[in-house]
Amino acid sequence: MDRERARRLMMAHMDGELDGAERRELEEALAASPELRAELGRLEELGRRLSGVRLRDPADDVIEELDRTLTKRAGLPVGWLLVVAGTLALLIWSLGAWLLDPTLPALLRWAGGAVLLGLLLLFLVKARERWIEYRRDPYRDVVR
Amino acid sequence: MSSAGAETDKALLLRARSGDREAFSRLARRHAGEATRIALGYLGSEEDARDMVQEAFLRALRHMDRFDVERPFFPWFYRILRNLCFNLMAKRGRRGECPLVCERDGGVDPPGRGADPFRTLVATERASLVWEALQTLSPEHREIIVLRHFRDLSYQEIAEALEIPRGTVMSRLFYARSALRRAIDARLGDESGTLAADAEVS
Repeated sequence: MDRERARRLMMAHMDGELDGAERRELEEALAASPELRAELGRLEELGRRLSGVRLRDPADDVIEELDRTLTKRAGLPVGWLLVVAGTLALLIWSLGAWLLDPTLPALLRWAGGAVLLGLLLLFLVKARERWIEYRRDPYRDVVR
Repeated sequence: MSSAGAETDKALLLRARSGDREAFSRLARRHAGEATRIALGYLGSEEDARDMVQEAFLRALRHMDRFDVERPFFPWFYRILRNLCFNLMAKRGRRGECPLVCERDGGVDPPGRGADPFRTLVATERASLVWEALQTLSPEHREIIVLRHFRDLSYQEIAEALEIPRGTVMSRLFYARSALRRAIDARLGDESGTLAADAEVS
């Protein structure tokens, strides 16, 4: 039997996952190789060391907190999308109507145009800033 | 890995897909405990584990349409969770408290509740030793040790969760255990005091 196969069977032996044929195969390999027996002995010693060691139980409120978070955060993207899209649509429509209204004095329309342009510039500068921050953030894939 | 319940995972998933948020919540509640324990085994910090589990459930919810409901839910969900945990581990390096407890030799969880303080100390040292050694392993080796030793998953369950053949599970376990044994031995060589205390209690 090749060494890799023997190692796999040793694992299955330690974890109680051997079937009858595999058990006989492993027994033969172990009988023929003192090296394999020593290797198995060392790994069984590790198994004994790990027995009784377990992961502690998480606090009882994990599930309640998860429930709260799912309810709260699952609706957030849709909510924000609606608010931002609606606000932008209203803003563009209002400023458009203002700029194109021929009854208003030219100065007021120029002022309206300046406000629109200013807001657009501020938005672009801020968006660029956030993009650079995002690119440099090592934790960007981790949503807290 | 699967949980028995009045309603199967598949039934809940089908309802969740049609927009029933309560069905998804029930599914999440069913698997949250197991998911948090596994994440704790990778990250050490309970706070990080909770964050990753929450994020994994949100991502599962978002990508529900990609999931084949004929297949078990937990292995699919587990892969989302482990990717998040591994990303975090890669970015922030080693951190987190020891999430292991040792219940042999009078060790208790949490330490100090009516047990012999010396035995509790030894048990805590034993758990810390395993945790420190575990942290030196590659994520894949750490993962298979956590799933097999600390969550007691069968080879079949591990193979499903990791999408690898059973033979690869066995082979990976061999190398992971060998690496863990070497890491523990290396630490024991430096900690003669712990060894002596260990021997005295055993």
